[in-house]
Amino acid sequence: MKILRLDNVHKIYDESEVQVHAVNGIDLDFDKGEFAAIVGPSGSGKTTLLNMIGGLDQPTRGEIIVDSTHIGQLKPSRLIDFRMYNIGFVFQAYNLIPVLTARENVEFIMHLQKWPKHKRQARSKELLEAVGLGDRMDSRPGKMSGGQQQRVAVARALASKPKFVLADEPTANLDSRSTENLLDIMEQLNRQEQVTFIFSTHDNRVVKKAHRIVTIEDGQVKTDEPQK
Amino acid sequence: MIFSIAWKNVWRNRMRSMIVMIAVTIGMIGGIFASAIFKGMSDQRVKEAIKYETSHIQIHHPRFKENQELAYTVDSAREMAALIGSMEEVAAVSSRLEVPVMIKSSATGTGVQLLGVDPGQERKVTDIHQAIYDSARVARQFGISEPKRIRRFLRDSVGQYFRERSRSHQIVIGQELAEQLKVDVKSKVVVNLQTADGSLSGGVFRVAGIYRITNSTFENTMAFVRKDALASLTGLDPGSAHELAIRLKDNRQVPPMVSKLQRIYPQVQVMSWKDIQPSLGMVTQWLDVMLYFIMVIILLALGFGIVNTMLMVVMERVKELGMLMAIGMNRVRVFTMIMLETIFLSITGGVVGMAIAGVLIRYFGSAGINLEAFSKGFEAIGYSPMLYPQIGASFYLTITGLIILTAIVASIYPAVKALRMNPAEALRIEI
Ligand SMILES: Nc1ncnc2c1ncn2[C@@H]1O[C@H](COP(=O)(O)OP(=O)(O)OP(=O)(O)O)[C@@H](O)[C@H]1O
Ligand SMILES: [Mg+2]
Repeated sequence: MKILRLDNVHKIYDESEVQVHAVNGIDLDFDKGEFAAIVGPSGSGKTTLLNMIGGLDQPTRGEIIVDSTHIGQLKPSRLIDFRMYNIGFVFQAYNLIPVLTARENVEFIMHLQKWPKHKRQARSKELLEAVGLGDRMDSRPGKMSGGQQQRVAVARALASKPKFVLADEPTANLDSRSTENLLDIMEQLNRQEQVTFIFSTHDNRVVKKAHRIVTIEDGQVKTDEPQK
Repeated sequence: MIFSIAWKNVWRNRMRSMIVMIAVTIGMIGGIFASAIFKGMSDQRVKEAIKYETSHIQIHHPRFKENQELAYTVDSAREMAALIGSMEEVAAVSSRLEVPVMIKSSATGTGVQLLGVDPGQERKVTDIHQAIYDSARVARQFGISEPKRIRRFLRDSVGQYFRERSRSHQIVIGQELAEQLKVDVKSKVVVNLQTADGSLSGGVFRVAGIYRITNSTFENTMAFVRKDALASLTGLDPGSAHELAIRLKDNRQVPPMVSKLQRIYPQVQVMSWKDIQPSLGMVTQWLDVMLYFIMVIILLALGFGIVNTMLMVVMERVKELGMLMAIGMNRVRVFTMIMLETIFLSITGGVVGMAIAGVLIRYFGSAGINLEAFSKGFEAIGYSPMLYPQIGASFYLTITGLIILTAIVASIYPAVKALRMNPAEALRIEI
């Protein structure tokens, strides 16, 4: 079942006189439950692509269709809600609200979605235990390591059962042990929750764990292959 | 949720928030305390005016105030006074004659309003008797009762308020008038007036006491004699009255009582102290406007500091705000969060400031502030050197509202700035 389709997507940045063709005609499909890595050298257009998929940025040309919604056609206010209900985000850093505990961070979107309290608590507990932080639920992000913070971010991204999770270089700030650990957890949740993960990286240890590898270069898909 | 995040955000940069809060606290203490001093001064002035000059309510013949003719007495004043005096809200009623007269000493002469009063009634309505340096009080104060000679000496030199029956007519005048006429206690003055039929009449009075209040105009123009003395001079019935002065048990009863009395006695003119001395009412009203103006100026100044702080907050948290917008905080929520944070930042200092100001006002409101040390001539301008700051509870409520309003206005620019950000851009920014 296709949950995401990119149809000839372009992104051109107009930087005073100079035009940067950051994404240059990309066609891609993603099925439910995929665990895919977007790989490419720095400046190849990974962040730009993920931002457009996540509705944070509009393509200059082309269509992005989530399920059957053309997200380019959504009004800005609808787009925010669409993101909140359908897409989980994990960023490289600054993922968490520093004044809230791990658990409150995970429950944040459920709050915005007005989940009842007992459901929120059950879900946040379940997820934090799944990412191995059952004993750190009441810690603030400032008291946690980078790897632990990214695990909370993954739990937060999954909290409201999105259609897919986008992660732009989630391990860029982590050491190799934490990187491995985070990827294992993501993979496990991908299986358990049947949620699609699309993450960008230029770290080979991460690439190794992906089930599908999309290589891009100069804003175009170079290779697109399954792994294992 | 957004509430609690906003509150916790306030404490992220403890030092910076504290500085803003302390600024607000100091601004509030200064503004509120200054307001309380002005308010206390004006209230004191009003209180004294009611106490010595106007009483709470006065009743006249409807034409009396515009054209003070002897004939414009209040109809059946005696019954009216008795009835009003028996009303629950009323402390006392004094029925007076009021006649414009010429008063002359050996040195000079001037025109004054001569009030004919029944001293027994009058002391219950106004406190002029307490404004006299009274011989009996001085005697009591120093424990002097005998010998007679000392008592007599005191009476001769310090005066009294119609204390004893005296064969000669007694008059009580103000300090200001006494100085103008160059008279003293026991001096004789001559009073001349025109009777109802147009003929001239007059009599000799002896100054029994000299009162001293804060209003020198009143001192200069208002003199008191016994009612029967004035009645016999004018040929009026001692039972009649030009004026019923009414003292109520409670200040707040004035407006309802005015309308009540006017309803019962449509044939007379019922006036509150504000109608009698319009300048007094105006001062209190203008003062309120001025006090709010002071507070608005203070808050405006603080508002700029708050805007500045919140701008710094937004700039610092660009990435975090970008993340929040990416994961689903819509514009309304982002705006609300920043606005709440600004309100919390402002109101915390505001509440502390109001509390401290409240305690200060409470303390000095009863202990008083003695300004004698600072300005010797304070009494000269009509205000007592003891100052009792005070302010109503409604003032605090309004101030709270103003602080919240300031915070809301101060949050608009930083919040709009935050909303202008594109989350994708915000997340790219390197810090
Ligand atoms: N806001 C922008 N304005 C102009 N050019 C931009 C903007 N954002 C990105 N670019 C350019 O678009 C190209 C693709 O950038 P992008 O950040 O998507 O690459 P990336 O693959 O994520 O790189 P990295 O691995 O370093 O994160 C780059 O040449 C970059 O300079
Ligand atoms: Mg990137």
